[in-house]
Amino acid sequence: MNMRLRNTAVMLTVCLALASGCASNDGGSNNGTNTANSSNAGNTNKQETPSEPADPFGKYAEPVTITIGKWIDPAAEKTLPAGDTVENNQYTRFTEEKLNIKFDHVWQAQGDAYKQKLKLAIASNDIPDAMVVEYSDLVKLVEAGQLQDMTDVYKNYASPQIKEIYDSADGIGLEQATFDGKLMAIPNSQTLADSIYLMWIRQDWLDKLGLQPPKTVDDIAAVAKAFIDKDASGKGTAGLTGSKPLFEMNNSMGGLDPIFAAFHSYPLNWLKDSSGNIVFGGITQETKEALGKLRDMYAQGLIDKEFALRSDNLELVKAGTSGIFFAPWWMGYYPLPDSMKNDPAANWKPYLVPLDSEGKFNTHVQSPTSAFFVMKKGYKHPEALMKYINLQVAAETYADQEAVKLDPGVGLQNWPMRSATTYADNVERNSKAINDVISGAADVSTLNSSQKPLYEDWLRTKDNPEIDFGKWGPAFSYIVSGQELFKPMNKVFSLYYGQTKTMETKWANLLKMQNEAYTKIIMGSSDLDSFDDFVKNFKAQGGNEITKEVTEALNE
Amino acid sequence: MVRTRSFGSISADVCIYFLLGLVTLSTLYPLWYTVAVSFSDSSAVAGGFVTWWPVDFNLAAYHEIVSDHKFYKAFLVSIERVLLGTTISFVITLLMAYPLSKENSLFPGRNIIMWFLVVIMLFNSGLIPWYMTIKSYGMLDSIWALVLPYAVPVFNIILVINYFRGLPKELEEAGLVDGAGPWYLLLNIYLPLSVPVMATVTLFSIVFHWNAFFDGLILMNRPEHYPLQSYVQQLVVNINTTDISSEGLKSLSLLSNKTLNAAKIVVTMLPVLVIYPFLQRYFVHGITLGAVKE
Amino acid sequence: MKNRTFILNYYLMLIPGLVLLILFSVVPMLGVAIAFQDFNSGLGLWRSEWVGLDNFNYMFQLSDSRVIFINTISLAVMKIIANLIVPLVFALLLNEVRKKAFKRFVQTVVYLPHFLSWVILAGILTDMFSYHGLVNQLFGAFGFEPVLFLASNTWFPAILVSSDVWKEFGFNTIIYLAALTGINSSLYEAAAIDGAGRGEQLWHITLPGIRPTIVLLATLSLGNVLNAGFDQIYNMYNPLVYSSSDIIDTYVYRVGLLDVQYGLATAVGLLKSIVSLILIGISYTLASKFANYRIF
Repeated sequence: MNMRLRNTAVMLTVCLALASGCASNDGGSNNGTNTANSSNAGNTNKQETPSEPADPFGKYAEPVTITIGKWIDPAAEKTLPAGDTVENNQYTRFTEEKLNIKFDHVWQAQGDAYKQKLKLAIASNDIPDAMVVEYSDLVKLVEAGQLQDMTDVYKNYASPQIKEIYDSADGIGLEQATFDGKLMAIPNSQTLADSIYLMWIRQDWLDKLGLQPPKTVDDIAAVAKAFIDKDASGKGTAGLTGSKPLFEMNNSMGGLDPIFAAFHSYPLNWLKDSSGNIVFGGITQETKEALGKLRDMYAQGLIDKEFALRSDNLELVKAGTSGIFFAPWWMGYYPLPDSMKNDPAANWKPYLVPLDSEGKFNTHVQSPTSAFFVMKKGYKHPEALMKYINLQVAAETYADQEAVKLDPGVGLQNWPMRSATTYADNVERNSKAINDVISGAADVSTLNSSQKPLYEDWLRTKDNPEIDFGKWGPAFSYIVSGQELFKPMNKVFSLYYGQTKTMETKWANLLKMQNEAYTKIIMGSSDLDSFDDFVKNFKAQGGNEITKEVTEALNE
Repeated sequence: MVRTRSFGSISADVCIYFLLGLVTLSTLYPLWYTVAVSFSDSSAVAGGFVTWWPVDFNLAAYHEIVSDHKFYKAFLVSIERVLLGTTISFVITLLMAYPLSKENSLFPGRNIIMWFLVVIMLFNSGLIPWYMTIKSYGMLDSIWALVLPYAVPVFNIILVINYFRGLPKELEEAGLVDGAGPWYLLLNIYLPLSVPVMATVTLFSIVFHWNAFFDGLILMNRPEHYPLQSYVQQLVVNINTTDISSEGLKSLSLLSNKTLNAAKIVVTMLPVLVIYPFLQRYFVHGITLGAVKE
Repeated sequence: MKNRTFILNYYLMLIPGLVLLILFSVVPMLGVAIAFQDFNSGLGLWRSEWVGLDNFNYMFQLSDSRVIFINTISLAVMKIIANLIVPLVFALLLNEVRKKAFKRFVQTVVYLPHFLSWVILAGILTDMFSYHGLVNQLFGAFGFEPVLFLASNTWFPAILVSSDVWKEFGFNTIIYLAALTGINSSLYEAAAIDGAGRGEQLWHITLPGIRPTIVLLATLSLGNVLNAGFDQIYNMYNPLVYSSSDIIDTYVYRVGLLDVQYGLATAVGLLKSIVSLILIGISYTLASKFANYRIF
């Protein structure tokens, strides 16, 4: 497993280097500027480094100010004590006190508005000193030559802990942020568990009808049928929920991914077929089989009739009319409390199913990196960003002892710039630590300051969640559903998480076509063999070209 | 007017009243639905149980609004925007409509300017160039960015031009005989006669500025500077779960508060609903004379 | 010379407006240059590479383009026609009402949806047309099978058109009503004496009386042929109905801002502006020819 991942990572580097090479050749003139700048940056750093070893946590003598565009999380904002703001709170003060770094918000926004502001800032060449961006934006910024080369900054200033975090995901993030051999951004690192979807089922309904928890896709269909036929909810029971996108690799709730995976179909992954060729998972025979099964289930009414239309596809879960859905480990945060408030009898249990014909659970796994910290070209102290990330991660993991004075109740998004930078197996780590205490294998003193409240909340709420759903949810998620993640499973990484040149213009359109074709097949408005037409169109409208580019990238 | 009333005529009347009543009800329903949601319990709303009447009637949402500073601020920004925007548009509309209501023979160049206005009304430069322009004027994050780009409402100007043309020519001629200049004619003869049409375009202006949300999101740098509709839009858009890190997921339970959002929508709609009946009197007259002159 | 001072003053009056227009509308128009570029934000508008008509060529190659143009025009035309006929019928019915208070009440209320944004309305409509929604419940009462309205390429455009009419018909109703009150009432009295029924009066007096208004509104709406309603469709559609409801504006938004293909998006937008301009020209000519009316 790890071996394979590492190979992938190596291939990724080269392919990205190649992709950006092509891109800047197209741009023509910016090639020169790029190299010129990076050698400059290199020089400055060389002058700094020889004298004394760089300190990842070194405090500046004079205050350093970084301008940023701030993503606001309204929920995190609500957790601020009176008088504090997103611009001045315990985290900003901590940063200032430890590093003498200040952040100046040139703009703030939330949700789509943040994305729009960011894209406009990039398009109008007016970016703040530092930003957190997604991959496609990173590619644009690098192409446009707007970013600072972070190679030396990372080498000299990244803390050992940060390096360990990247190692926990085999360095995939760093490879992704490397262009032409230069590190152009500091990647975030997210926990992989978010892309593993469990089956959530109403245990109380199973008990009421005297059923065993399902194991295979056919079992699930049978249980769904029983729920519907015997009207387990008593108010018109629906089948499985589905979601508009059908499948997604990150934090999607109520999709159908695990059923695809039970057929060895991974519709968003780049895979190797039996003869060793690179192929897009969305056009394989396995996917056609999975679609055939889903189509049958839909026709029998076992999948929510309107799954493709709902803006809130968990409505049925909250209303208490659907008893089975697929989603990540953290459902205790949301939406289970809503369901339990509407129906106090609701008892949801997670299972790592369905199993495939060989009895294995398969799942796609997301890229460990979803976002990138970038620095504007020419900023005087590029290492300030790295120092800040070091500090924030150290504080969040309590590697920095002083962080105990920070109130964990204050939402983490109130850090000046935050994108989860944590161990790839963070959920499993927390779950194991707490469960060890519960089983008596470890002492309470082994828990860190973020784990201990979860443990205490669990003791208080496990028997009557309704006294405080807000505390019960996180505890339940880590302690109960976290355990499922330790069961044996076949994690399937994509061979390629990047973006080739042709993908820039054609990929969105192809994915749209894919979603449309699948949805129509499942809902019965096209027949199953229309899948072959979709494959033909997919290949003709750029799919072949892109497959070739990805293959080349992986072969280099 | 006396009409003979047959049975057929009466039953036709009944049908007409019934039909009109039904359509009227259908236009009231969304408003009613929003009000019902705003007075309901939030879990019931999340489960989709509210259709006609509030479920578990309560005022929690309205209590929360009263203590929401951002909502107040946004409300004030919107008021400022409406006042400024409407005043500027009013002046510009009047000033442009008057000369442009003259025939080309009296005002050479009039037709060219008119076509220029129409071309501009139809041509959309696209978001990015527009944003860059406003930025280059240094107006980002200022109230002027929400007001000045819409200071020349071409559609309204056309309405007023047509209204002016419909006024009797003798009025102006009488003024000319007395030796009045164009400014005097506009302010003392045309303006007093144009109350209906000016009230109408003012209403258009108010509604436009009150309801606009997209430019606020794009041009303002801070949520505190958002006008009300931008603020409300941020609350009611769907939350995209893929943007949220697992630590931030708790937000979903805090934010899936349709009840509070409905209450804010109700409060947001109120001012326009209150103003409308007052201006409606002029409104019918204004539109008709502006658009339909016989 | 008096005339000269008048003209000078006319120009003075126009100056503030024209200056604002140049600053906020003409200057940004230079940005359509992006349609002919491979826009690179680092290089900006003037240094990005010029690619001639490449973006337009790509646009015509995309299999979506034809569908999008056809959808835009067919939806817009249906909306225009429905928005002429429904308010007319409604105004005629309302005109038959003799209770002043009722008439005024109805007139005020039907204009209400106009004030609500599509963000809000779309949510409510989606609920109403859902599988278990109000409309399907009504259908069920008459023994019909429930329909997935929002997933059906037959039903969805119909819903778009009817909900648009539902939102906007109050406006045209007001204009028709005004035209109706303008008809000389002695004509009706004479007809009644001749023994003409309601139907005949409608056909021979009312309709001819407001014909100019109908023609006028029809020509005025021609300029909207390429405006099929971004706000509405954007908030209500889903991938299942792209083939019947994806329009130019929604496409430009997706491609331009979400997929960051500035060149392509600007090219599509430019084409739309040009076609709209031609259509306005046509409607200007038609209006002056058939209704003897100058729009502006």
